[in-house]
Amino acid sequence: MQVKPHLYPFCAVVGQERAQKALLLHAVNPGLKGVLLAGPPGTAKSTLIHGVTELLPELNVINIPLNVDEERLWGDWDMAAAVRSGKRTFVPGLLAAADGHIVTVDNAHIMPERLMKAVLTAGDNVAGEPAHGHVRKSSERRSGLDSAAFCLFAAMSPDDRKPLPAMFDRCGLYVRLETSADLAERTEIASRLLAFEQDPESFRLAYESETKELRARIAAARTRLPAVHIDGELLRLAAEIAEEAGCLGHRADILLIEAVRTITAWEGLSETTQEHLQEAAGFVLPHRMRAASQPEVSRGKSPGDLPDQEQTKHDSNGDHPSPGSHRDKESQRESQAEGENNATNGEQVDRSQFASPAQLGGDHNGEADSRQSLSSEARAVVEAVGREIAVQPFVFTSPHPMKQAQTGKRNQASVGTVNGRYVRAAMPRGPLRDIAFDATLRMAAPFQRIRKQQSSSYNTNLKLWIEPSDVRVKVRENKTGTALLFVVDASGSMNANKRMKAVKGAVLSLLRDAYRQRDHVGLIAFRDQQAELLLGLTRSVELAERKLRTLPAGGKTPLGIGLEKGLMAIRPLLNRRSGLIPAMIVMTDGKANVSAEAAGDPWQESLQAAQRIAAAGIRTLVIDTEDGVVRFGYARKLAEAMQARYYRLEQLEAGSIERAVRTLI
Amino acid sequence: MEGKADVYPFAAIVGQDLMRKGLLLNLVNRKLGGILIRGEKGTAKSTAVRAIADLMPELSVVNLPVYATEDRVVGTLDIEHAIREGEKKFEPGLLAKAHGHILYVDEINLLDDAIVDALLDAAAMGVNTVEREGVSYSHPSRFILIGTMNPEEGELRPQLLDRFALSVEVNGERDVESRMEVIRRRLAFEADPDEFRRRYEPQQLELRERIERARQLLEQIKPSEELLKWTAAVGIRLKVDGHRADIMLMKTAMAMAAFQGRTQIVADDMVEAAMMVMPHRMRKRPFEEGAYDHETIRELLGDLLSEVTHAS
Repeated sequence: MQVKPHLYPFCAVVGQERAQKALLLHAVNPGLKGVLLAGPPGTAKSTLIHGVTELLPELNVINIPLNVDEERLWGDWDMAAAVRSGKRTFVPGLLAAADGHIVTVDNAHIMPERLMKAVLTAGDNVAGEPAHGHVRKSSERRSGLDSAAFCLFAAMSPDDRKPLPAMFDRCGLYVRLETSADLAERTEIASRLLAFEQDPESFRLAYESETKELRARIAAARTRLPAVHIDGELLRLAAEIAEEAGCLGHRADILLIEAVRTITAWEGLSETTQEHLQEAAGFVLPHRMRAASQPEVSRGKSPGDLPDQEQTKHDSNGDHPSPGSHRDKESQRESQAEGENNATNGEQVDRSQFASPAQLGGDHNGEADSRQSLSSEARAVVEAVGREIAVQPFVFTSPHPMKQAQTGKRNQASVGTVNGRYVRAAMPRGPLRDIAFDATLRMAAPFQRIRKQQSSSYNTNLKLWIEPSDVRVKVRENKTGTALLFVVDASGSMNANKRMKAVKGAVLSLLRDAYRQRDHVGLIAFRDQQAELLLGLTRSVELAERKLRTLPAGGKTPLGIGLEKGLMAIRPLLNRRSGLIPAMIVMTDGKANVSAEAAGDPWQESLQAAQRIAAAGIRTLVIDTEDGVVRFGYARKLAEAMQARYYRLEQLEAGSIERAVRTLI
Repeated sequence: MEGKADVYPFAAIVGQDLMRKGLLLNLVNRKLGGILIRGEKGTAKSTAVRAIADLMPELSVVNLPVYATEDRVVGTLDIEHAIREGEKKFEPGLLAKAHGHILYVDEINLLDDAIVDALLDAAAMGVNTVEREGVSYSHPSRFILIGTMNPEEGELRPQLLDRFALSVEVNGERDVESRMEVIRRRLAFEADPDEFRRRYEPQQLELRERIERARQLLEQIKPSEELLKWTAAVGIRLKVDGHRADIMLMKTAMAMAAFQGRTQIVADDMVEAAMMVMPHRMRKRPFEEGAYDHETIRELLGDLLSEVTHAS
């Protein structure tokens, strides 16, 4: 059974023109490889992605829910059919069923990463790229289907958790939706939505003719699209823009060109203009631009380095970028590029595989100053687009590299926990728990006939015979969080030069990050003779903040005691399947002067505690709060003993934390 | 009211005016968008939720426990049927059961992320789609979402927070007289539930009729352009994310007017609605001192408060 809710008409959405445009462009050209709408809740993202499907009534709509498992995504053996016939029958998965149709995803940011990646890359095999592990596995299972090309309409609220995972650069177009701040617009939004809610039927009727017009316009643009050509200059500019934006590979260039062609077709024109390119760049670039500071090792040669002959050679090709069918364009173009190069210039074969479309486009005259001007144009386009701001999360190092590899991911698949999302089935290991009945039945199904025939040893009243070898268990994916334990030095030395103020600021800014990441936080302060657990590990970052604000400072420095207390607080998380990755953040100047033992050496005691923490495999970060001209560097030694990542407070203050200090304390 | 003899009557709840009102508004407009009740333990949160279903016999409360698995919530393969008949059948989960009813999540802030995701996914289009365990199924899933939480134990994800039309804070009664009355009634109820329920039957009936009347009145209420503009202005002033707040503000004010037996929205409806719709949407910046209490909101709205009097 499938239900279709009353949809709010696509054309009745107010104030999201760019998102509407992107969706319409993709409706015209499935080769644009998806539209990703990102924005805060309540900005009509879902309304739009479902609304646009109504403009393509001839296509099926496949909504991929968060609860999807790999078997449904890729297809699997039909258990029921197997029981009846004793033969293995393959049921295609959602991706196969989506081929040539439409896929919608409402909460792309919280879908398990590997599944979302599968959806995003489903069409990529066509392009002859090295198959992703899962893709290969699936294409073996998916009888005959190598790839699926479909319109992908996805929505996400990026600030719920992490900003924007890199995999989303697979999505062709990206639009960031904002809450409208325009009074008239907002009034209209509310007014229309209320009208729709009160009487959806007549509301839809009122927009019927506009909807029909849009449908016709999409159809017309689809017809016109193959005839839209890109001239060489624009091709070159597109390549330069992609280069300037620091986009790896050819994806961005190709998408830029495709988007420009589609915009042109949508506007009912056959000639493209630079305004179209600027508009296209606004959709194609923001989510795939790299930070300027990031080294780009694998980038191809810049167009300026090309030998002249090659440029003239490709002159003619550049004018005809092989529109062809909607799908496979990428592969066609690449193979065409390869073919041309083979034909005209044998020794360039290996290089041609890495030829960027810039080489394809070529420059009509090859003059240096013309290239210069194009480059500055490209820069202007890129600057006008602006980059999605990525939040730099703090990185923890683990003393045990292997452990780090496992826990570095925030999505962790595991067998045996009953929490989390069932993503796939696996052979059981160890005691049987959390049986995946669906997979078990699928395994048992083909053998039913044989087992029935040999049923003397079985109970004949049974409809189904399951043997231990059939049994599969569920693999569940848990969103693991981090448990951040702050161990803060609140001794007298911290009061000097308002160090405590700076430390509080630093912790606050870390807490902000923790809040965004939905981490658990805890707080231990040590001063005078003891360490106090001010806050056990909790999700309430607000509570941690409140405790921190009222944290008193003064007295001696029982560093070792503080560390020991921290270890005790974190240890339970190491042993238990808590789903939490513990990490300890120690803020101190390292000048220990109180020991737990009456005659102990405070510093040695601290070092020993640090070593125990390292031995326990806890990820740690030491923030050195030492200040002044003469520095003793105790905190650094402590960090070494703890195998911790080491920062000086000043380093952290340089960026966002400095602001946090000013505004919050 | 038959069969629910163990339920404490709604009309007998003492104090907690905001919570009671918020719950009732969700009965006046079942599509209002639910309510989040924030407060410490022992403040009659669960009692009140059970009591509203008791008040409206056609509504049932579907309880979503914190430890519920994803299968239980979204639905799964009917194993028994599969084993007995050798064919696949969908076994509906809590989201199916709650359709047209109340979905109640106690301690919603402690809910597993996967379950929150399931709620969000269903909320996006009011449809629960299941694509797992060889089952492909979708069914409508629109419900009155009622959540309770103790904020001391952690916050709710902003995306889920945004889905609640209303949020109210509940506290233990401060007034000694009221506290005594709470205990007196509770003891009377426990001593003889039937007798206690009988005693409140007339008031229950009256409340039920009032809600039914309000539901009819609501259909006749059309928000004026001025009031819509006011809600938009409030949304902009308070810098809430998205446009859901504006719409929910308007809908709440409409339900409020209907509940008061009017077809005309007055300024008080708007202000009162704002106090229930806005606070939890302004909490996304975690470190700003003090939650947005009603005073702060009043201050922020300032001149808008007098403007609404002209608008209505």
